[in-house]
Amino acid sequence: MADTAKSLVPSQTEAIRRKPRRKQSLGGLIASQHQLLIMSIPFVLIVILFSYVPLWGWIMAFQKYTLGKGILHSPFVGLDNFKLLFKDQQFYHVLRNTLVMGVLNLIVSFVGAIALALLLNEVRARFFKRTIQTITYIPHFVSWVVIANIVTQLLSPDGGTLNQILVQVGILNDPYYFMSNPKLFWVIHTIANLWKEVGWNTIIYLAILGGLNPEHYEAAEVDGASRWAKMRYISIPGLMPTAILLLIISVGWIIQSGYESQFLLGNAMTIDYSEVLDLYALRYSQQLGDYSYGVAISMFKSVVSVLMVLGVNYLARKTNQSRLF
Amino acid sequence: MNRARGNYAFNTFNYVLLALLGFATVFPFLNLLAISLNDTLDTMRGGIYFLPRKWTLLNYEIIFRENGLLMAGVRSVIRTVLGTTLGLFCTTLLAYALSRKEFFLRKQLNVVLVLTMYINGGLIPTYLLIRNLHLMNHFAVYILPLLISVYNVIIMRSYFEQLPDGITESAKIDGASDFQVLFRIVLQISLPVLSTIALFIAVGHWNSWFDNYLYASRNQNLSLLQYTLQKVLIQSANEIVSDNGHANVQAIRNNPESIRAAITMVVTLPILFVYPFLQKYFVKGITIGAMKE
Amino acid sequence: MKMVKRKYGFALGTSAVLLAGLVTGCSGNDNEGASPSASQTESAPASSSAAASGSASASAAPSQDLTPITYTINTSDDKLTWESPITKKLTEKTGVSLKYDLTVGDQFQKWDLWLASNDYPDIISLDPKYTQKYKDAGAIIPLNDLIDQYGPHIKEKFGKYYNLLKDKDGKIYALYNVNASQEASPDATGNFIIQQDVLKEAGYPQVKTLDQLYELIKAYKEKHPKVDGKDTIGFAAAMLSYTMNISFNNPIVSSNGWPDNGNFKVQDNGDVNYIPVTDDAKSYYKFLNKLYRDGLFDKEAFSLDSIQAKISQGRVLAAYAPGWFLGDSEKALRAAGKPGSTYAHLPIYANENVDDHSNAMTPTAGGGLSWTISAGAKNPERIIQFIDYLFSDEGQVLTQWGIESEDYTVQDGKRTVAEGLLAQRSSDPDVDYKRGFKSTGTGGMPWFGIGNGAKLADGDYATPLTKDSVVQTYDDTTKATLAAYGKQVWADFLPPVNFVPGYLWQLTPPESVKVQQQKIDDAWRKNLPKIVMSKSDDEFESSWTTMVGSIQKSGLDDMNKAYTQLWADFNATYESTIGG
Repeated sequence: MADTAKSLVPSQTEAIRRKPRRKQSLGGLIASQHQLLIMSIPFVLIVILFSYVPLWGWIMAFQKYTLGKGILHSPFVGLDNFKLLFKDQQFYHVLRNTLVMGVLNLIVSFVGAIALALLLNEVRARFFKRTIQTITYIPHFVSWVVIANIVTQLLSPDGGTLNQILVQVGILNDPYYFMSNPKLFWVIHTIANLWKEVGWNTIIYLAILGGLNPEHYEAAEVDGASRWAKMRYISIPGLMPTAILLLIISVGWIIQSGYESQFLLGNAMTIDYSEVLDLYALRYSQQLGDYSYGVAISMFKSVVSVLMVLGVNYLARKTNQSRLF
Repeated sequence: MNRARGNYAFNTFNYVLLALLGFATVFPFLNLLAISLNDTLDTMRGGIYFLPRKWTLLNYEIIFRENGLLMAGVRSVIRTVLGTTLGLFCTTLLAYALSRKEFFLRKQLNVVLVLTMYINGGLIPTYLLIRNLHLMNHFAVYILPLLISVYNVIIMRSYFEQLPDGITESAKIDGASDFQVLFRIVLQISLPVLSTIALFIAVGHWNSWFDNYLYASRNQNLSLLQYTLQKVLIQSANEIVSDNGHANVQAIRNNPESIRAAITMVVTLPILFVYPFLQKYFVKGITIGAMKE
Repeated sequence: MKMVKRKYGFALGTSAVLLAGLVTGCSGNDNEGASPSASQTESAPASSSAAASGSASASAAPSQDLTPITYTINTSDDKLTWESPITKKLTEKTGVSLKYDLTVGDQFQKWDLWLASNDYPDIISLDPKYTQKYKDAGAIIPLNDLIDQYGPHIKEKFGKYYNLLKDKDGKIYALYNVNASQEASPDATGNFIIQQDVLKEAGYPQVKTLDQLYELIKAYKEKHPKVDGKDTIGFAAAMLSYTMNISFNNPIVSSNGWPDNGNFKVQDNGDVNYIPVTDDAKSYYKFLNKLYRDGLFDKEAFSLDSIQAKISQGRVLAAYAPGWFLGDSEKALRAAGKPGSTYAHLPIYANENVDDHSNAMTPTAGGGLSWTISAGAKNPERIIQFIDYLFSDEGQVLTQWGIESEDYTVQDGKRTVAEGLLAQRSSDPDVDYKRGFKSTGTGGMPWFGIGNGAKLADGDYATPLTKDSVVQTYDDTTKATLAAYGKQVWADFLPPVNFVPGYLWQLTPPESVKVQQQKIDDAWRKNLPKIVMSKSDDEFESSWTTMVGSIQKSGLDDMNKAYTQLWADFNATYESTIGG
């Protein structure tokens, strides 16, 4: 075995350089790449077990599932659940909110995290840099309940800090009820989200920046490149492959927004702009005991997610960016 | 001269901006700290910002009085350490395999893995799966389902892919196996990404309480810190008025703000220190990398 | 206070939470709500009078199997323990021990998962909706035969209301409290609250109507525009999540003197109507709008989920708030040295002519949590024997009063709570857990208690809660206010007790209109802020019309019809039960 492996080495490197697959039979590939197989197959099987096996649950979407009867004895109803979903006006409403807030969040947190990483990268004082790094990632660990509470108090018309300042400065005559204006909800939500997650999202970019080859910076320095030039021609291109990759991944999650932040920041007055798909799913399926409806929504989300990812990935491939697969 | 001034202006701007951001993000934490050290009843009256008004340690006492808190903390640490070690190891192997351009299953496995980030069979099938695997009320339920996070695998894979080809290829020509290449070369120059992924995995394990609640709630010996503290919180929200005698007891909606704050402190502080500890590895990879190239 | 408290506690537990609220809002608020109830004509059953007075002969079946056996039971109460004197005594008497299966967090989700995986405790404490689900799945067993054989005390205590336990199919699946009390609990209160200082300053006037309340608030706020530098709030409310019904439905019920049927008003002819679109609702919202336009209504009522913080600051002059809704905020006020800012709890009416029937009692605690027995439980007869012991007089005394000489003393045949226990209670909030007074999932009272004010066969009270014990808990300010009105307890302001067969909210909601109901509640929630915050009468009218239209479009008629039918069916059952 060891012998064959050894004898294969030259041709294998050859294969890497030129035509990777055509020259070898499947058996040969398995033999030559058995180490890669050992490294990957067991873990892929675990992922399949925990992610694909439970997909039998999707059958529920075509049933009128009840817990007592289970999947085997619940009656089939065809596409009824989907018809119901697509007929409901409210569904389109929450879909719009989900997509808009998802896109806003995606863009703002993408730009915010990269900007923060670049700014931190420019800081020479190590202690200051690490302190700010650590501090900015704290809110990630604070629950939305607490964050929403702070935001609501800050914006309160009844003695909220922001209103007090605005009135004092003379911008407002009377305190303004920010949380009552549905049009402001998307803004408030996006800012709150940025504030909570920007430090956390920066971590990966800082790691990448840390991994960039310092020789490039040194060479640029010698050439008299400005700070901007270094940022533009070394740091940003260094970040881009990972950034694009993360962006593609996140595009698929736009529709899977969760509901905690929207629910906790929202209220009856903003509900037309704050209710998202996941909250709708919770209220109209689990709370009403209608699991089938929830599964139908979940399937819909999965399909949309996958389509969006495939689409963006295709675009990335076309423009020669890094891509998922 | 001009540039120096520009630099100075930029630096000032940068430091001020970052300091402001730092203040904005540290505020909730300091606020929580103050609230956690303030008398619960007094907290209800609002207006606590950076300093407690009626100083007390009672909120922490209530938390630490909870039976089994210490053991739960120990278990959480064990879970986090074990889960992070195993997770990092497996993630690395898988990411490396998927980063090899010559790997003949690369594309297929990538697709299979990536899709799992977007599909979800739902709560009930997953629950039944865990039951059928006999993972219920077993420590392995904390480790196994979370062993591989595809998101982390892809980040690491992308990092490996960006390493200069020359390093690994010359080793291969010298007859090194994939395991040797991975452990002797690639990992040596990947400390930034390894520490990042380790942080991601560790935070995931530390914060996780849903699996405890769903799959391990019947085994007291598996209670984790987060879950135990969740119990304290719910209990304090359900605090019982007993001043009228037991017969008229009623669950009331207490305002557990101070307890919640203290709980946040207890669960956040340990994990907060992981990051500063890992930060030093964020720059270590490069020197070796630079030498090798 | 207590009775009303419990009542709305349940409304919170079911309608508010299930229809409009969200898990986050209620996870911390697990109410084991139940209704207060009474049977006017319950007589001490002759057949089991021998069982009375706590003598040894009380145990139901002398042949009872006392071999130790342990059953699991679910609870969301972390502090329950079987390691207590009272529970040990229960084991001694019945052989049964309970092992608590804790559900922290979303217990509805847990119940679903248990059912899906056929893995549940022996005794499952469920609400009516889940009792139906579990029954349909065959996961719980009918108890009729077991009770016939092993449950004489259960039958005795339920008396003529025994048949109310039965499901549509004539079988009994769930057991809960019965209320044998003849009177309202002395800790019941009206649900409108007014700061005692406001009343004092006005010379303790009679406040009967919303208009009088309005004048009172207005005058006080003009004199005291600020409290500790912050704006005085005339009237507070909160609409986020589960507080919706408490702030915007229940006051309509109370101020019109109706019995509490959740979101519904039951007409004399039996028709059931959704309250938020009634004229009564409109005039209450008009009242709120008037407050709002005069700057007396809390500015941010529609984005708050609690009024406790503002109340604790002493800024809220009045509100609609059942006692439990205030939480610890009155305590906080006292701790801050502002006893005058705590509240008088009064019934207030829409107008002078309201005939108050809101102080109602039902004969059972159906509608809250109850005990069901799983199909997998071994020896289910042992569980019934255990429950039967709890229903016996001996069991009642043990679980409600405790252990003689340790928890209570007897003098001249009258039980009194022991001084030691009272002292412990004021110093240790967990003492009732440690003694074993606490249980789970039987309705409003622990351990199948039969109601405050109910009497056992020995002629003494079944529970320690009396008028005197309530008065003991008042501070001087409260006593002074009550004295000014010539009353002893807040319950004295309430009208006489009214007996009703049950409440609409106690019944399992009709499956056929659940989606419509959700939509209707959404429409109500969404439109109400505009109505209350209208700047003119025209705006008020048009916002009102919009809301009513939107609710009608969401299936109002269907829902009203379904509930009318539900109510009619229930009453028919009730009539036939009491009749036969």
